[in-house]
Amino acid sequence: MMQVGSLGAAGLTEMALMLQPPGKGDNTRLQYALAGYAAYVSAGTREEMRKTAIAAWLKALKVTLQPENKTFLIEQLQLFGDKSIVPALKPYLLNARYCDPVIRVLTSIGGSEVLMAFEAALGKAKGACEISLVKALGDLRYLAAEGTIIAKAKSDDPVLRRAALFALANIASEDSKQIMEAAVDRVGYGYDKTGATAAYMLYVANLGHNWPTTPAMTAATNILRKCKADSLVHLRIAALKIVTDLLLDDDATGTLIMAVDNKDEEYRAAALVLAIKHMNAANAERWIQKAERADGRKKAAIITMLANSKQRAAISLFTKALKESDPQVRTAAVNAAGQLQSIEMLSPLLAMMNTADSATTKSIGDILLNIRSIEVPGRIAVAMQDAPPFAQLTLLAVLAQKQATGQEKQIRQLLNSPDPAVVQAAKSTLTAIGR
Amino acid sequence: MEQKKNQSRRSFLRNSLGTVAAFTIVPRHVLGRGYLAPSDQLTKGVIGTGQMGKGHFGYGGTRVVAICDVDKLHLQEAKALLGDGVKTFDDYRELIQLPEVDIVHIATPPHWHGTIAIEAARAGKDIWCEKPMTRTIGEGKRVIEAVQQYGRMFRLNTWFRFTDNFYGMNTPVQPIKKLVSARLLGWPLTVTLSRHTGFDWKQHWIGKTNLPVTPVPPELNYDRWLGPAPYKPYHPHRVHQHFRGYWDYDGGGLGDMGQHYLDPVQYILGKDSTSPVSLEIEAPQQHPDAVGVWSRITYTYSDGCRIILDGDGRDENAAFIAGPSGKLYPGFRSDIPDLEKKLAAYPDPPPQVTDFIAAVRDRQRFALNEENGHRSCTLVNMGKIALQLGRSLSFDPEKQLFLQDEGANRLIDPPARASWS
Repeated sequence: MMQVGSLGAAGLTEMALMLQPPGKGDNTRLQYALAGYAAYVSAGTREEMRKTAIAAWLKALKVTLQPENKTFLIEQLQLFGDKSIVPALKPYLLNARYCDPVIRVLTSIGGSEVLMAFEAALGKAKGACEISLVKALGDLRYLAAEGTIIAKAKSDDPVLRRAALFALANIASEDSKQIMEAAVDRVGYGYDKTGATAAYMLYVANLGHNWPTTPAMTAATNILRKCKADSLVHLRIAALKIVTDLLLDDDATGTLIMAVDNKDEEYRAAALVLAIKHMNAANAERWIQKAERADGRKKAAIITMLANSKQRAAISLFTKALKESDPQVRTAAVNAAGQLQSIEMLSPLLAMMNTADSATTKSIGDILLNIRSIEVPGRIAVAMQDAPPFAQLTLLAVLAQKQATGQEKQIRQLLNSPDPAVVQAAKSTLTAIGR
Repeated sequence: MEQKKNQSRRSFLRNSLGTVAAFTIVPRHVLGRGYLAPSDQLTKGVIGTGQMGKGHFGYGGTRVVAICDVDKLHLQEAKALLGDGVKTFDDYRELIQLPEVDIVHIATPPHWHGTIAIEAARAGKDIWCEKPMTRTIGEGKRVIEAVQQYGRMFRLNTWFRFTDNFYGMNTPVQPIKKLVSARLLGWPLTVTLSRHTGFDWKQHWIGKTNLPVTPVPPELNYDRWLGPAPYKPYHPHRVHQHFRGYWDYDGGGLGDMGQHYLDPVQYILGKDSTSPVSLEIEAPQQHPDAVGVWSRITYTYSDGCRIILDGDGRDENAAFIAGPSGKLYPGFRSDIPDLEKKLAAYPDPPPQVTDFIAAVRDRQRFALNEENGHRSCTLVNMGKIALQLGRSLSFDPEKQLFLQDEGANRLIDPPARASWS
């Protein structure tokens, strides 16, 4: 690269001008050299070389007429161009062939020079250039262009309308409220190619980053009120997230505790996912109380959420839940013991095996393999002496997998079992542990 | 790569045809949210019906009701396989709009993955996405945002962290995870992915330079095939079955196999919610358009753990995992005596949700989801950026930005082409 750099600006320009039109020669070596140098000078520590390269590139760009090679040179500027290239690239903003790569380069650079160039060009741009400029101004969140973009959002061209609605969503000014609401109302909060609903949801979420947050809260609450249809549950979920993101943890938890009483399972599940973000000791206690009042599927879901968020304060809830009549709740509690690697739940889990069905016994066996404690083999060995045969088989398998050599004596005691399957399993376990 | 890769294409398609004929499906939307059809099948719309898409028609628990492709020939072939009952589209947004589609399955080239995943989430669909998850780090962040904003279930389709033998290691990932979690190899660890440890980097996925401008075939909507990617004149080597060789659409063998190999390693090392702090490369300079070969990429995490991608198999004696207390080789061979016996005393890795249909039904997060999938895809995308720039890089895993390198940061989320739609 130093060799290429030693050519200086004039040499680099000359090299760039050696690019041949497609089909007239092989540009591969030149492309390697030019792009390699562009990448080289884009490192933060090569500012002088970068300036030289910019000067060389802009000169070559002016002279080169061949479209593919011109585009190639523009695209390399994506890596190392800076605000000094804006005047030279500005004329291409209205050129259908070049506006897309130029807008992408300038968007990467950003800054006031770029924004003003985009805004000026937008007044005259048509077709693809207009769409690209609107998108770029939105991506750069240029508030001064909002009025112009609002006008574009009324276009009959659905592609332009889509670009404008998303740009306004990114800018997120209250002045866009009317047009954004009109667009989403027109499609009834449904999905359409102009993305009116998605743009509106993004708009409301971005409004929440502004101060005051009241407009975002009002809009999100309205979404919750208006989007009652089953098919719009994803919008209710998105609105619930916006609302709870705006609230303090305690208030958000209160809202989410109410949300788990919703009739829609997806909505309830989403509320429990959101709850984890707002978890603290006090809120964990509120969820524990909620679980104690709940039953069935809902209780199981809250237990799973508390386990996923590693709430050890909920271990007494989980332990009590092992005795519930609802199998969903019991299963959730067993899995929670595994999630928390709960040594506290070891005794109740082992006791549960005395009455559990085969599937639950198997699940407990899997959980016993998950729990990290040196106490586990010893506790299993004691518990299995009085367990029913199916549980003994499971526990022997766990001891075999854990290579519980210290439990040989207790394993040998099961060689006296009246159940031949248990005797066989005890023999296999002794073999597995090398005894 | 398909999950059911040991199944022949012919038997796979035969099964899928049988599936179509055998069931009358009631889509979930008819029964209301939160309910499954009596057959317990979910309805699926597949976007991208080339080789990859067609290979994914027949998963158990799902039924394809709609397909989309920008190549009319692909669409015709796919429809012939699925029968007249399936709806066909050349614009993915029309498929996404269908109320009868529960899951959108994205089997397009990677430069489309992010855009379609975000759009599907916004339309309230659950998402099954082929790897690599996204072409850029920025797209990955936006996919996470959209999936979580709308409460969607997301599955990234590589599976070695929970099933099947992990390529040439000839053992599933779970016992390796257990070994690493037990710290029997010590810490920090170095993982080497090379042909000597069982991982082929498919360096044949390289692009061509000096492509002549070629007329676009009538069956292909090339502008829509490019979509968010920069416009480049058409050439058949850019598209079907060859696109991996071009930076605008993927990243060669690293793009193709990277997430298959790196995702389980990320899981094994317990790095699902972080990224490396640096990466070093050894590679010849890359062409700006066509992906080339590379020799070595080394990722280093903040705790000193390293992942080495040995592209040319330089180190014949490398262990798959090497730590201060021991090494692990393919086939679970180790220099630690009685390893399996010692390992038995340690707990198994925590269980994972590995049935996507159950994940959708119960609204439980899938084992390989938008967040850990984004992190393992970030490994791929960091490597691609370093190769394109020809230099080693430092990275902030929290902000997900390169340190003091403006050029590299401009490749994290390069602006997309706007006018394709």
